[in-house]
Amino acid sequence: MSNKTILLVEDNPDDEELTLLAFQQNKICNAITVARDGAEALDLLFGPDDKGGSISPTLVLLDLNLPKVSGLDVLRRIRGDARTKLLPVVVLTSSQEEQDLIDGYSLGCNSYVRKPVNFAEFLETVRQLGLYWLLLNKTPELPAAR
Amino acid sequence: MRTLDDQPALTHEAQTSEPHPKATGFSQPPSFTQALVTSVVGLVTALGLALVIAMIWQGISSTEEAARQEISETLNRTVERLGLLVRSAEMTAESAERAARWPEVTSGTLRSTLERSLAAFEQRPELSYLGIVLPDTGEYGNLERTASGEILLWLFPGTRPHDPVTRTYVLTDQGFVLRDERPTDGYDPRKRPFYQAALDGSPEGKWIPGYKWIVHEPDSPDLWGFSFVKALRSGEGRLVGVLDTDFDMPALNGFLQSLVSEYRSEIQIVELAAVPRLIGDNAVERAPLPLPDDLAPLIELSASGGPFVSRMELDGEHRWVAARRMELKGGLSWLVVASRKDPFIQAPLRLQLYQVVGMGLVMVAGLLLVSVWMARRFGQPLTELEQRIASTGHDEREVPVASAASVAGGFRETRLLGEALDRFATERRQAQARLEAFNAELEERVAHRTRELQIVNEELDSFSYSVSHDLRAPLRSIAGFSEILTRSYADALDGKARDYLNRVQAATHRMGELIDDLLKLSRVSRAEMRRETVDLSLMAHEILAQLRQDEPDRQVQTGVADGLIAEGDVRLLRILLENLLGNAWKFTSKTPDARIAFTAVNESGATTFVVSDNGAGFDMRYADKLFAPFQRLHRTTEFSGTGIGLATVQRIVGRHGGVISAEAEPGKGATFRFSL
Repeated sequence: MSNKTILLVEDNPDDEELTLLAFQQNKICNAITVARDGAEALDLLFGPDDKGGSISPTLVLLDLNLPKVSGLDVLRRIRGDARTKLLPVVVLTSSQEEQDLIDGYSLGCNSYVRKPVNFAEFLETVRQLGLYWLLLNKTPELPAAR
Repeated sequence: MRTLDDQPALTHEAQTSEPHPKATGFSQPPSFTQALVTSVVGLVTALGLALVIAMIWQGISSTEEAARQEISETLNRTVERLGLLVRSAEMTAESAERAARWPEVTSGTLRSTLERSLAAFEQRPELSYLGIVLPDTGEYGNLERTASGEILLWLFPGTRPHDPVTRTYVLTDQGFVLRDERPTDGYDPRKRPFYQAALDGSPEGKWIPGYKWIVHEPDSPDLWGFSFVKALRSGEGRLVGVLDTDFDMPALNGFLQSLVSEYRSEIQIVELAAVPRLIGDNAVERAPLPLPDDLAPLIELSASGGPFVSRMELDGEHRWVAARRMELKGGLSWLVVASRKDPFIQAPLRLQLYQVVGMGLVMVAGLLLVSVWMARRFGQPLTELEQRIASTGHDEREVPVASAASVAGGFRETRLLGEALDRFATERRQAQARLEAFNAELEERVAHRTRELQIVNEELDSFSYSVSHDLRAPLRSIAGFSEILTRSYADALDGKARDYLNRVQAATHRMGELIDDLLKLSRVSRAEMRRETVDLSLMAHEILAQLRQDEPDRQVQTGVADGLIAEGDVRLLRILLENLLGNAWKFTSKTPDARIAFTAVNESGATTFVVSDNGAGFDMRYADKLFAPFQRLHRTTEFSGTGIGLATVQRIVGRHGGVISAEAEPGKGATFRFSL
C-alpha cells in the first residue's frame, strides 16, 4: 500500500492541510505529492518538456478550480495521453454544479466527490476513498509508465 | 438560458396585421357609379316599357271600338247597296210597266214594248232579265244580259197556234237582229212560279224566293235566280200582263264580290224563306247552299231588326260580325251578314303604334346613353377617390404623385373630400412614421434590456458557481481546523474553549446548509422548463416512501388521492412535492396521531392540489412571511430547516403559472393549496 503514490492537485493550502490530515488520521501512509496548480500537476506527470514526468501516481485527487490550468484541462490532458489515459482520477471539489459533474464524467474522471464542509464527514470520505482506490480497486499496469 | 429574444417582434406584428382596405372581399357593396348607372338605367327602362305597354293597350282598345264601328258601317253600306240593287230592279220593272200601259201591250206590240224598255234595262247592269208575259196566250218576251255582256231579245210563242217558234235576237248597232229560231218544246211561262206568284201579289209587285230557272240553252248546268214580279192590270182590273225583272245567282254574287273587295269584308246573304238558304257567299255559284251552322244563331239574334254586332267564331276564325235583316217587297227577308277577321291591332293604328314605339325605344336608348354619361361624369371623381383611398392604405412610404384633391374632379364636394383625404393620408403617414420610430426605439430598448439581462444572468451563474465553490472553501477550513482542535488538542483547552469551538462548528455546519439551499433555490429559478404530463399521485407515494425509509420509527398516517395528474416540469414538480410533503413530515414529528393528505379539488374547471397535515401549524399573522426566503416561523431548536423550502415551492408554482396559498392554526396543522 505504501509504495503507491497519490497525486493531490489542490491550490488551497487549507484544503491541502486538511486533506493531508485526513489521510494521516485514517492511517493512510502512501506517498502524497501535492501540485498547487494545474500546470504544476502536468509538469509532475509529463515533465516540463513532455519527455516524461517525475512521478507515476496510482491515484490522482483533482480539484477543478485551479489557477493557470484548470482541473478539467488537466483531466483532458491525462485522458488524452497514452501514458496516463488509464490512470484513476477522482475529482475532489467544492462544486456540485450539474455542469461540472457532466464535464468531469464526460472527460473520463473515475469518480466525482464533493468535499463536505463538516470535517468528520470529510474524514469518512477520505477513508472510503483510500480504502477503495488504494486497496480494493485493481488497475492494469500502465503501458508507458516507466 | 431564456432571454427576451424569445418574445415575438412587436414591430413586425404591427406592420403586417394592418387591415387591408380591399380585403373585405365578397360582401362588398356596389360602387356609387355602378349604383347610379343601375338606378337611372333601370328607371328609364321601366318608364319606357310602361309607355310602350300603355300604347299597345290603347291601340288594342281603340282597335276594338274601331272594328265594331267599321263592321257596322260595312253592314250598313252593304244593306244600302243591296237596297239600291233591289230598288233598281223594281224601277226597271216600273219603266217597263209604263211602256206596257201606253199603248197597252198586246201580242203585236210585245217586241216594241220591250225595245222601249231597253234603255232602262241597259242602265242596270246587274239585272239579268226583264220580261213580259201575256196572260191570254202565254206569249213571253224578255231582254237578257248574257255573261259576256251581250243583250239578247227572246220571244217565246206560248200557246200561239200559228207560229210555235222561239226566236232569239241579238242587239247590234242596227237594233235587234235575229240570231236563231228553235222549237218551243211546250214551254208555257204561265206555269212558272214567278207568274203564279205575281197573280197572288199586291199591285206594287213582290219579290219571290229564289228558284231554279229553266235554261233554254242545251247542256247548261242548273241555274237559280231571284225575281221581282208584278201583275199589270187595266183600270177595270183586267190582267194585261205579268212583268218580271230578275237577277241570277252569279249576278248577285258578282255584285257581292265587288262589295267584298271594296269593304275588305266577308259578306253573306241568307234568304229567310221557309227553309233558310245561303244565297250570297263566295262559295255560292249558280245554286243556293244550305245554311251553315255558324250562321244559324244569327237569324234569331238579329230578329229584332236592329243590327247585331259581336265578335264570334265564324268560318273557323275569330271575326267581328254584323248582321241585319233586310225586308224586300212582298214579305221576303234577307239576313245580311258582314264579317271581318278580328285584327289584333288595326292596320292604320298599327303603323302609328310602330312609330310611337320606335320613338319610345329611341328615347329610351338616348336616355340610357345620357344616364351612363351622367353616371360617369358624377361617379368618376368618387371612383378615383376610392382608388386613392385604397392606395393610401397600401403603400405608406410612397408619396402619391397626384394628390387626391387633384383627381377628385371639378365638384366642390369631391374636391373637399379629396383635400380631406390628402390631409388624412399625410397624417396617417406621419403617424405611421412616428409609430415606426417608436417601434424601432422600443426594439432597441428591448435589445438593450436583453443584453443587460443576459449579462446579469451570466453574472448570476458565475455568482452561483462562486458561492458553491469559493464560499464553501473557507467554511471548510474553519470547520476542519476547529474540528481538529477539538479532536487533537482537547487536552490543551478548558471547557469554555471547547464550548466555543463547538459553537464555531455548529455555525459552519449551518452556514453550509444555507449555502446549499440557496443554490437549490437559484437552480429552481434558472432551470429550463419542459412541460409534460406528470402523475403526481405516483410521485407523492414515492416521496412518502422515501421519508418513511429515512425515519422508519415514525408512525404517520398518509392518504394520497388517485389519478392526480398535472402538466409541468417533472424535476421541478418533484422538488415542489418533496418540500411540501417533507415539511408536513417534519412538522408532524411531534404530533402523536400524525396524518398527511394529498388531494385535489376542482373549482370551475381548474384543479387545485391540496397538501394538508395535522402538525404544528403556524400563526396566520405571519402568513405573509411564509414564502419569503430564509423566513422561519419556528425556532431552529424546535424544527430544523433553513427557511428556503417554501420559497422554492412558491417559485416552482409561479414558474408553472399557478398560485399557492396556505392556511394554518398553531397546533392544528397546515393546509397548502396550489394550482399549476
